Amino acid sequence: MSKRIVTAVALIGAAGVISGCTLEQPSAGCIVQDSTDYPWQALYVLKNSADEAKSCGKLKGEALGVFKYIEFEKGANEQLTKKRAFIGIRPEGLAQRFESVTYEDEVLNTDGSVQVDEDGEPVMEEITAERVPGARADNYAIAKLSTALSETLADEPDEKGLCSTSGFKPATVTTTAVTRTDEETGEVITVAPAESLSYTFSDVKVYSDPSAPGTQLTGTLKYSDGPGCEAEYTVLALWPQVGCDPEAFANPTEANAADRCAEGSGLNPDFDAVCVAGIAGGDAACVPNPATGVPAFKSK
Amino acid sequence: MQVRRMLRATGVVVVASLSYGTAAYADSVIIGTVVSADNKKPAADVVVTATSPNLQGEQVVVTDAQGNYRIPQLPPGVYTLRFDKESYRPFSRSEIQLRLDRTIRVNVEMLPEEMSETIVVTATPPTIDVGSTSVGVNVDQDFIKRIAVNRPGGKGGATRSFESLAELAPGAQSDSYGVSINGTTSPENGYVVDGLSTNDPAFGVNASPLSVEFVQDVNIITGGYMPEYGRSTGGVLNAVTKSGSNEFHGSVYGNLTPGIFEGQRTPVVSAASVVTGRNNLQAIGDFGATLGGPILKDKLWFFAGVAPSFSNYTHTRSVNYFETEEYTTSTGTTARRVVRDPVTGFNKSQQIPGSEREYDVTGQSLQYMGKLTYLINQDHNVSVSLAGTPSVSGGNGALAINPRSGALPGTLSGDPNAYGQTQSVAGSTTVALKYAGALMDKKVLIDANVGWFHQTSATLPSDGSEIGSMEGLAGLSLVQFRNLRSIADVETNLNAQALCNADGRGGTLACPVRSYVSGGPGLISDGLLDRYQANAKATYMFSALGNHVFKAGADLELLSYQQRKTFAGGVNLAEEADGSWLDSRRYGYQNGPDQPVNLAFQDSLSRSTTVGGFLQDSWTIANRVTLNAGVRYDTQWMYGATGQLGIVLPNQVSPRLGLVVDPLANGRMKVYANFARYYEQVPLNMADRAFPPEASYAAYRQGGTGAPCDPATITTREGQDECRKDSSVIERGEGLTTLDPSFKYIGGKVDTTPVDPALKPQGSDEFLVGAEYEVLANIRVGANYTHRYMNSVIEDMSRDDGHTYFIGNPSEGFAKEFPKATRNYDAVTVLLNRTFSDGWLAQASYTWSRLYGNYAGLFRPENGQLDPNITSDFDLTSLLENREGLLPYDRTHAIKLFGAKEFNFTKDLSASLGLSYRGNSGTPISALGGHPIYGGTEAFILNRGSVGRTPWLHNIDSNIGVNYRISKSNVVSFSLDVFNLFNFQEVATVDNAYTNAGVYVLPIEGGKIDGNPMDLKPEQVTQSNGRPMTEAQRNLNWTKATSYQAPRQIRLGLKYTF
Repeated sequence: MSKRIVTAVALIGAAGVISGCTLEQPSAGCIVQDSTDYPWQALYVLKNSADEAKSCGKLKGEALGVFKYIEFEKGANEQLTKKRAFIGIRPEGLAQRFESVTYEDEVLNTDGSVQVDEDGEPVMEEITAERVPGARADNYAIAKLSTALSETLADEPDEKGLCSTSGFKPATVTTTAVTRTDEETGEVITVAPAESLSYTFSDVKVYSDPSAPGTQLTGTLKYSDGPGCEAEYTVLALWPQVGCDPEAFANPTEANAADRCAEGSGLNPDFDAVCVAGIAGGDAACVPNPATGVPAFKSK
Repeated sequence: MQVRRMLRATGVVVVASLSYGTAAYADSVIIGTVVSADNKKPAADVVVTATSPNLQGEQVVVTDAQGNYRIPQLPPGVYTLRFDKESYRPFSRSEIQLRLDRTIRVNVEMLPEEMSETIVVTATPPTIDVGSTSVGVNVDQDFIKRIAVNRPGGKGGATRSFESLAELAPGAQSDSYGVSINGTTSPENGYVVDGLSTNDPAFGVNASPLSVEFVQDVNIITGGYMPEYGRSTGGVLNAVTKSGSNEFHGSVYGNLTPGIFEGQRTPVVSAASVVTGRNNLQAIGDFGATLGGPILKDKLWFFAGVAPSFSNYTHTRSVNYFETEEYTTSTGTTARRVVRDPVTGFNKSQQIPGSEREYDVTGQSLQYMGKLTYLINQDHNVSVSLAGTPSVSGGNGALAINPRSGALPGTLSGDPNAYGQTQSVAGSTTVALKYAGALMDKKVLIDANVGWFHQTSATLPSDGSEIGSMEGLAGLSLVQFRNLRSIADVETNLNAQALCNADGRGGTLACPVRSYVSGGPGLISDGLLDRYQANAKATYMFSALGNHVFKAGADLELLSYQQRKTFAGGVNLAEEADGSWLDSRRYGYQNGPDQPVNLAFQDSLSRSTTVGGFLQDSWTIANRVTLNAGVRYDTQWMYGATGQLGIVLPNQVSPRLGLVVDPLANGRMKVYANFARYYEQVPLNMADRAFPPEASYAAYRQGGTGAPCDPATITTREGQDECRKDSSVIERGEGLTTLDPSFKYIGGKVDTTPVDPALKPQGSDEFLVGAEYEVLANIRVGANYTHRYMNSVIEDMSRDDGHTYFIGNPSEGFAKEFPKATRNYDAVTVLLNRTFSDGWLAQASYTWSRLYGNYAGLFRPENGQLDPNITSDFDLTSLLENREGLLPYDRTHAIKLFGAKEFNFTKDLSASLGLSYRGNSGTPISALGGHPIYGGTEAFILNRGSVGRTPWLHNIDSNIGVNYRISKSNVVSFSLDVFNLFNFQEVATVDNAYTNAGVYVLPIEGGKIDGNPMDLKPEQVTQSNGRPMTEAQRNLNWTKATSYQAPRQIRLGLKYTF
């Protein structure tokens, strides 16, 4: 205990010398809002409109899981030394591939014939199949590949308030096809197709300012839905994901502010946000105005 | 004549019995003008000598050409002034009562020796402070001895702490953590003992509940103070401890408040819960001894004291069952339901026989103090003092008394064996060095203080196991059962299965428990708080168009708050509805997705540095007009738990301007006006909690019978060892489809809370006007008007409905859509004050006041949340609807009457009778409801405080004292204090919640309804889902009593002084 007192005295003494300098509020550093309670909402804008025709050029936007991690080294007495910060992005398009599929299939007898009920109709059973088999094996090795982790996240924002990241590895999911055979016709029906999806993020920058702490980000996404198709998008995302009404957005009144990404919507009211249909599981959601870019503020 | 002689004799007894301990803290001043009695011309070069039992040696000054003299740096006490000049008759004036921090004027006419005519120059000395605009009261031992003060119980009640005396001042009233002054909250006060702050560095409350037995004089300054006092937006409680004197004096004393004399407490009836609890006083007492005297006469004095004290209560926990009845449902079937009382609508309940269990509620303290005062020479002295107030409460099965608020335990709605496992340790140690010196014929004065204030604040396992250890109680996790059960199944020793199961639902209807804690002690913490303070001020007196007293000072304060804390067993385990278990509280972080690192404990060290200084001039023109002008500057830097600078509160420029007019120029009257700006020193709790918040992560674990977390064994050490293993962690509910890269562990990262770059420090302004007149000797009457309002307020806020938070000033910077934080206080006080002399004293005051706004202060009176500058008040704009109104401490009328009379039966036997009356109008009532985002009772359905008031509270206390003089200086005194003499049991607080738990409502637009707000109907209130509220969702307890006045208590005291 007395050692703790001595430390306290020494630190206080040091503080007395250090302070006296600045009268400005210190920076809070690079803050990133985690998607613990609410996801981020991304808008994807194709960099090359010619890609629109490609199968991999159809992304419009989706929910993102964005998390910041701070890696520490734990010393004696639970003393922590910061090693680095980085972020993880988990796109809904990858996470939802882990949803198992359920379908009905004929029940077969031991001899391979189709079991029938008293009316002569085939007996069907419900089958649940994983699209990504073995995802949990080896301590979730396959599942973990579906999150894009950066190598770094800056400690402090740059002069524009943007916190840069570097070293994103691609996030991938490879699903195996789930099929069933129609015993009557012998036709093989694909319940869920085999897919090989890849998200490669780069140049991701999170806007972090005391007035908007880590609630907007921008970046580049190279998306591939299989060999031979790759498209590049600009990512504009904000937090939290907030639904909106495109009609209200087009016809703003004071009363519908909450439905058009303004006051009461759950967003920072200074955001220059637009309402885009079909990007939140088919519904409309608020995203940073692509015409403004990130940071998107009304006054800025 | 006979009477007069007796009174004089009494006075001697009184002085003898009180002067054993005297003050060396010297900040009082006697000024005056000496004129020649024949021609009324100023008499220059008169030698003025001040003597007092409280003064080492004597103080000598000489009048100037205008006949003015000034004797500064005097300790409070009773003085004799002697005036000598050649060719004049020596003149002496005695019995001058000089109070702490006061400037009094003693004008004298001297008789030339050749004058033969008789000129009457005798007059009693004045007691009005003509140099200052500060208002408040000064409480000395004369008062403490004769009036029932320091009510037992409550904060500092057992130790008879000096701070509770603040409540005697007009405009002051008790609040949850001390005394509220002029509408502010108690953590905003400055607590100063011998020139050094004793505010809790983390929370701002007084952390040194020093016994009044060690205190010579307490000056409660409620407003109008000069720049030398700063860093508080409330009042200033300035206490001076006793010092030795040239004679040996001391005391031995004891006080006891036995529970058997306690008046009947009115039980609080409410919508009964199954578990109930009540607290009864066993005894409160304090004992002690003091001794002071010379080591070297006129050179070195000492004072020492020790004062143990204790509080013992009994908490009785008992368990009820609800009466049930059969009824026909709307579908025609029969079912059982709980019987409701037709009048109150509450569930009808009966106690389960034999379910009572008694707990001791204990607190002990051992205060001590030592002081040495050394007079280097007539002009320089130093003193060094050491004071401590260690205390412990609870542990080993006994329950604790909250050291910050003095609150007794509430209902124990968990496993009876899970209580009393921790001991609360709180205390402070102060080491202070003080120097006072005079230079250049007392024209320049230097006062310097250096001090170390060390505070402990800990809640530790009472078996001695260490924080972070997995042994003993420190290793046993708190378990929260959250699913509906019958208490008969949980507490099988009640043998209540038959009684409870009669409800036909296995006891879940008649004996339901849902939230039930068991297992270990939960949060355990060990905090060390330190304040290093150094301040110095220089006073320079000069003449230029009148007399100037110019002061300049510097003040440095370094605060630190070091805390080690953990949840016993490393984690609190909470039951989920599906039977799994959640690590509901745990310290730790994640190095990456699903890479949790547990912290056996969390260490934090937050710090603050405040640098400041002041300049002030008190300019007296023609002995009639005094202009006090000054400015104070402070800047505070706060460093968060990880050592990073978290927030700067820069450039606190506090101007103070006062004007005092003494129309008669004789020190018997003053008319004054003052403007002051005050700034807050922000307590460290904010730095500890926000820069950054503590890191924690959570996980779900496999539960159920036979599972690793088995409800049957989870309260035991073995069961917990199994449950807490990594292998029991299960994947989160969404499985791999989660957007969280971690599939098992939740959370684990914190970012520091951002601060608005345009942040302004928190402060308030005060306007004060008043007048005082000494109508008769020692009797002052006065009146004053105070207006206070907030400037910028610091709070944490969210502009996106609780998603992100920042610290800023409501309505300023980027918190522009928030309403301004307001707290307007207007008060008119009239007072009469008669200091103790000729055997009696009296104080009377009446205050009319209004406290209006949306900001209560550093804690929330509605729920007791003590989080200075980061309460939930301004978190969301939607919380602020209807939040402006009459604040909880608005009491329109306050009357305080104190009187004491001394009776002398024989030369040696005297008695005193003291009576006090305190009357307050009630506090405003609100209609609160659950807020859609914040839940609880955070929404103001109607305008704050608009639903009437609680009733007036009257309190009559009495004191009877009997003094018997054994020998010249040995006195035995017996005292009997009766608090709440008539055991008035009026409603003190009421329930403000209009909705039941879990009902979320919207504030009514405009905050008003047609008709009486008391008649608010549920259908007038809209739920957050758009539907009207229903009768079943209404809290039947709304506006009903939640507490009554403290009952009659009798304190017996015996004291021997020599």
